[in-house]
Amino acid sequence: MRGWAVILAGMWIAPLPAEDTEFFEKKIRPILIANCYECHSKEAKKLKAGLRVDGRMHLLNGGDNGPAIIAGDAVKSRLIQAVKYSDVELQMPPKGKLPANVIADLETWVNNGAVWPGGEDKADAERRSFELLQRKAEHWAWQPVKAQSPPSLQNESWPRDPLDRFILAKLEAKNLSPAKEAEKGVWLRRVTFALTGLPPSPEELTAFEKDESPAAFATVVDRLLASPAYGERWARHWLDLVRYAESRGHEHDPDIPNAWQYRDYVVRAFNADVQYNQFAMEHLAGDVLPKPRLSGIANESMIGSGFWLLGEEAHSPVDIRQDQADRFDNRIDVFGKTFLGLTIACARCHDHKFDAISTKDYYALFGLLQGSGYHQMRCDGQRENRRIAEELAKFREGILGEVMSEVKAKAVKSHPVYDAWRSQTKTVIDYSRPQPGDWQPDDASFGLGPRNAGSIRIVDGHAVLDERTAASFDRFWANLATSEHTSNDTGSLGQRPRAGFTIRTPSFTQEKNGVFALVRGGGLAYAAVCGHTMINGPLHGGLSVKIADGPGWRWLPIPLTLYQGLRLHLEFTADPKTDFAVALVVQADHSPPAIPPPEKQFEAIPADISAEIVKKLEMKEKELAARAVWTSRVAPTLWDGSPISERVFIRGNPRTLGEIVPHRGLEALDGPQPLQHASGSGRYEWACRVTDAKTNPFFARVIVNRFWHHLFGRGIVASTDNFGVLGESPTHAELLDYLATEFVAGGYKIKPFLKRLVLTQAYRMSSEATDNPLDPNNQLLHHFRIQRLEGEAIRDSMLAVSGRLDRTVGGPPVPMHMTAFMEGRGRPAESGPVDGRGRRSIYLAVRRNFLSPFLLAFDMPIPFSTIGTRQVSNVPAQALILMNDPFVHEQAKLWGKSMAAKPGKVESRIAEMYQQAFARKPNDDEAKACREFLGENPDTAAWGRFAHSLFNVKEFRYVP
Amino acid sequence: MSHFHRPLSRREWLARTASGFGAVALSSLLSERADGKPVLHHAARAKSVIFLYMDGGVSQVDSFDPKPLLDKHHGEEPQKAIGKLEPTQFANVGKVMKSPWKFNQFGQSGLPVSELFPEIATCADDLCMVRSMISKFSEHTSANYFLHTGNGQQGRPSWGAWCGYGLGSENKNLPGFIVLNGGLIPPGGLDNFNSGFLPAAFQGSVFKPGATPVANLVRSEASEAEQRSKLDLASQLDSLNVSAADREIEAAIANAETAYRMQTAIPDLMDISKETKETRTLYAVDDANKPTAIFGTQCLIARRLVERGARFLELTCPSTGGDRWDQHSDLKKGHANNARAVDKPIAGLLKDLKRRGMLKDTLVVWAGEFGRTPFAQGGDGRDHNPFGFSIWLAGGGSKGGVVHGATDEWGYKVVQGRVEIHDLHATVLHLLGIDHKRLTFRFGGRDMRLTDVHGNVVKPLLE
Repeated sequence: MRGWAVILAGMWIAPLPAEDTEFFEKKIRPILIANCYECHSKEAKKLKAGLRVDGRMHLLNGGDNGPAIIAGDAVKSRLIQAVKYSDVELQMPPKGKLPANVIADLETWVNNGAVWPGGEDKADAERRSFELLQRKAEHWAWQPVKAQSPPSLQNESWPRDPLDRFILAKLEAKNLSPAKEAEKGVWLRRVTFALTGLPPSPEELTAFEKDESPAAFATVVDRLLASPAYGERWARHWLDLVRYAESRGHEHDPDIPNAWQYRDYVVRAFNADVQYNQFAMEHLAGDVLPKPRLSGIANESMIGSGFWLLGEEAHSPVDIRQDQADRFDNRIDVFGKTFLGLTIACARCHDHKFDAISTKDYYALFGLLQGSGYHQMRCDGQRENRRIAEELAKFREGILGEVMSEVKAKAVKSHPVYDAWRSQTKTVIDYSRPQPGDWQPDDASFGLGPRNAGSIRIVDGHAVLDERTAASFDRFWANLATSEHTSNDTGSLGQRPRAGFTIRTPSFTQEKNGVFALVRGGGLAYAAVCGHTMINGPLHGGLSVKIADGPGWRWLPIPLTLYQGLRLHLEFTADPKTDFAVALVVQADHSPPAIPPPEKQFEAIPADISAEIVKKLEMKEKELAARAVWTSRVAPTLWDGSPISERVFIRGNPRTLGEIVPHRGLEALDGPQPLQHASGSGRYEWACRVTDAKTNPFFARVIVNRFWHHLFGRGIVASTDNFGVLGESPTHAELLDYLATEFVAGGYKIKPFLKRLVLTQAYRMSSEATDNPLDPNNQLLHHFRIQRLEGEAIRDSMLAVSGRLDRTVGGPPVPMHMTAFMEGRGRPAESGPVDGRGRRSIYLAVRRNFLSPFLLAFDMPIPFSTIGTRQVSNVPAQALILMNDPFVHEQAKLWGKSMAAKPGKVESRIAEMYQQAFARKPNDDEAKACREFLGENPDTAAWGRFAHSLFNVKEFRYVP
Repeated sequence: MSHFHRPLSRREWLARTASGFGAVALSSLLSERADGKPVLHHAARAKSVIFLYMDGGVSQVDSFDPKPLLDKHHGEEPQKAIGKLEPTQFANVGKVMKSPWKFNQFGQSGLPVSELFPEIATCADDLCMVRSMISKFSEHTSANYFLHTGNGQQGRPSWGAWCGYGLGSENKNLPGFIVLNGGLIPPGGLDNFNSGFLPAAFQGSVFKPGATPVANLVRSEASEAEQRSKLDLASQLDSLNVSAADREIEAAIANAETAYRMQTAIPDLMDISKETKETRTLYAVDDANKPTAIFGTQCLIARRLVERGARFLELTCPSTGGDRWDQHSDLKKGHANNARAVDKPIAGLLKDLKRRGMLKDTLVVWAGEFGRTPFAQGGDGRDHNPFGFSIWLAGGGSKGGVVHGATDEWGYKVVQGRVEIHDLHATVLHLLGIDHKRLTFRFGGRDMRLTDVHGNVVKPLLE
């Protein structure tokens, strides 16, 4: 009878046996009511985990974590697992474990079919459905950008640019008038800080004040935009978005090697005025662009993709899958906020509470991004060296044709024991039968494809023919070098340079005990399980395996028992002193019984022919070597791999998996269909969609709003990183669309766009506040907003006025000056100079666990996620720094010293310092106060004290 | 000349300090009375919190959670005796290991405490023992961030920052959240004490031992007059400049005055020379064992800070030469050294607070980021164990002399009264008069909470 009950579970009709009913009413229902109903029933104040246990169908359907019971199978039923406390993540009831006899009763009940007398509840049809399209329709930011005509005005004389009309129209509608024009010097200081992060010099001030031509303002803007300081200033804004740092944080704060190459790339991109859509493409898919942006021999585009990799990372995570989920969550968060102004990461555990973003969207992206790995990539000479590799391969083939008639292949016998073993294995890659897309070397040193059996190789001065087709490192490239200040990976991945010497396999899921690779020569194998790179601990040390050089072909075992069920790919790095090659990689449970027989066996090449070949090859190689690019910069970039689609993690938990979602972008933008792409991870095709302003209304709106925010002190959408329902509404929606349209029409060029904004009448307004009750927070911009300089600009200004500023652009970070108050694990051994060698703040080291106390006090963000709007705090620690910090004292003394050395009257020197610091001359009262402070015949020390006072004047760090 | 300003109310001050120009979401703040004091969600039991952070993870089965079964099965294979084991950080599982320390019962409550803590044991009836803590991470850094911020990754505000955000500081010359650094900074670094997305004002100020506890506190001018004259000129120039009339600039001027006063207020705080000999002995300030003396001084300064109105104090451990509580090997020596450093000072703190009538509204929290395995790592260490460990509270409205929750018979996993980190946070906020669900800050499109979407006040811990 009971067996039938189980089978008929869904269509219960027969009356229940009396003993089952009694058992349920006596032993089961009371337990459920007493221990579970409070959170898991109709009566629950707040239903937990979407699960009800007050009805059989509820239990069968389950909650967020899937079915709670499987009738007839207690072992597989989550309800039973929960009460048994067998999983630390799932222990119910939370107050304490039930007595053993009660648990046994529940098991019996489930095994007997989970009988529930009194008929069935109807299936819970009320489960909240997620209305993605409706949400999209209801929120402004998802709507297409509309072309806008500038409104007409009462005061037609005010606007200088059509966009001024949008500002004035709103003011006029409220009977507000705009503030008067700021003085020229005020505008100059404002625009100079805004575009370069530095104060104008007295000479620049004088020149501008003298220039009465109509083009005077534009001349200044052109000069500022042409200055390298412009790129540094705007790069720093961008770095806030991508949580830029040069170390990983966590316990030991290890390096992110060569992260500064990304920083310099951003500086160069702004200075070169790379179009924003190109810049964004480079971030999302710069490593796989069909036509990368080249600068001489350098591939600039690929460096952009490094931004994904600048997050925090943990070494030795006990749960490597959870760790991966956390890393990728950060990437998704940064991507969504930076490029779309959307909080996609809020959909990690459940559909977004407010926006048109589903959990499926989140995992579709998570899958897409998993298709690419991390690598330190050579970014110079790739194209050139590939040509040389091609030429070299052709030349070898050519000589091969000349000698082949002379060398005979021998017959090769099969090996039945090996064949039997091989039939039980799963192929990761067989380089003699590569599939399209399988060939993934990191540069030219493995050539343009597998080297076939029968290819020539020189061994100890003799020409020999390879007996297997394999991915073969070409020792021609043994001397590849990296530019000065290049660092290797940390941990055991860093045991040898990998950039330029590495090839990767496609991704696969580990199903067997281990992986075996048929290799020749020496090097390093790395199993990128869940993309874990911080191999520096006891737990995952086995993920990097040293390959000792040895004679001939042999099997390299990579034990992966711990990682069964997880996804990975392998990377093989050649020891460039050896003829490293890998022919075959398989998954297997047992060690291979033998080396597989070669594909072909050749007789030795006769000595005279060999000598000729060696000679010809040497000459050719010499010629090619002269043209090859030997030294390259190395930067962290993505390394595109295989297409991956991920399962939904129910409630964000990697242990409770839901359905597979095909990799793609957001459904509300791209539709629910899978992404169409030919090869690789699909990231390139996805990036093309993201950066298409025609179909993605966020793309242009979000960036023009950031420009506005930085120039006017508040975005049109004040929540610059959140255009969702919980973000702020635009104060000037039409203006935002007008700007977005103009920006796209202008070819995404940033410099002309910024120029236009700073030449508006709105930007010329005075900041003198008329506290107007109609616009108390100045949202409508009836006067300009006073802005406090960022920590970087304050520090850079001190260096500028003191004369200590070193304007060198780019290069490795200047080590942070370590005070006694900066402690903790991973503390850098080297402490930098107090003044950071006079370099601009953007070049100071950004180590996650040892950030600059000076910059932090002035609100430099902690680099954990996108920060488009910095806090502007106002705390005593700032005053303490300005009063007592050795850096401030040092710069004040330097400034004072330079003034003391100048000829001229004390008054004129005071005036000069005022111009340097505040871009204006002191008024009479100010001049008098300063004169009194300095006294008669001030000495160098007095000038230094005076300089220190000026640093403490609020105007030094506030820009009206 | 110097400026005299009406002290800013906390709400005004926040409006100026956060995003400036009123951009901060004021609606998320607790409301405020006319006298500048915060209006609480409910009556507070505690005014201040002293968090004794046992960096590295104290072993529960060697301190407050006796497990006789370990003696019986000592030396056996844990997979056989205990059953399936969870992965550990070092994957170097040794044998079942009994505690090297004996347990005895103390006070009227009969609370069991091991020989590791003979002095704390004398305060047994004040301790509210939680034997059922559970964390989510086996790695120090993630577990530290989790304990401090409710999230296993960098970037969230520390609980001290949340408390400051909710309550402000009662003393305008002192930050609301102060970390008294005994010498060791826990893994994860200073970000354990950061303000995350909250305004920088709520960041934990790390005080080092000694006369100059914070950076830039000591003027380098030859005389106070010299410094004063420079600052006076700056103020004078500020007052002559029209744009300085801006509200925010006004607040900056006020801050300069505060900073100036901090130059004397903080050294005054750190100067314990006027404490009586009896008090110094109570805290073991002059102990021959240097780490004990350091921690004793920290504890004494914690009391002085509470007297001065500080809200949230965290004490980190002193270096005892070896590692902090993280005994992957030689548990006996390492735990003994660490216990020696903190035992007397903590007992002294509890007793001093009690006799001064301060314990009733000062909540003391003693906790590490996780516990340790009941089986050995290698021969004589213990690995990390987040599945069940002990912490305790004292004072501030917590119930003394009770034991809450339980681990299994091995001391391995929680089986009763499970308390998650979020629950601990919710409970601490509750005792301070704050509803953890209503203390929110809008960031990145969400109303963020210390407890995220989790956390329940653990009622049995309340007096």
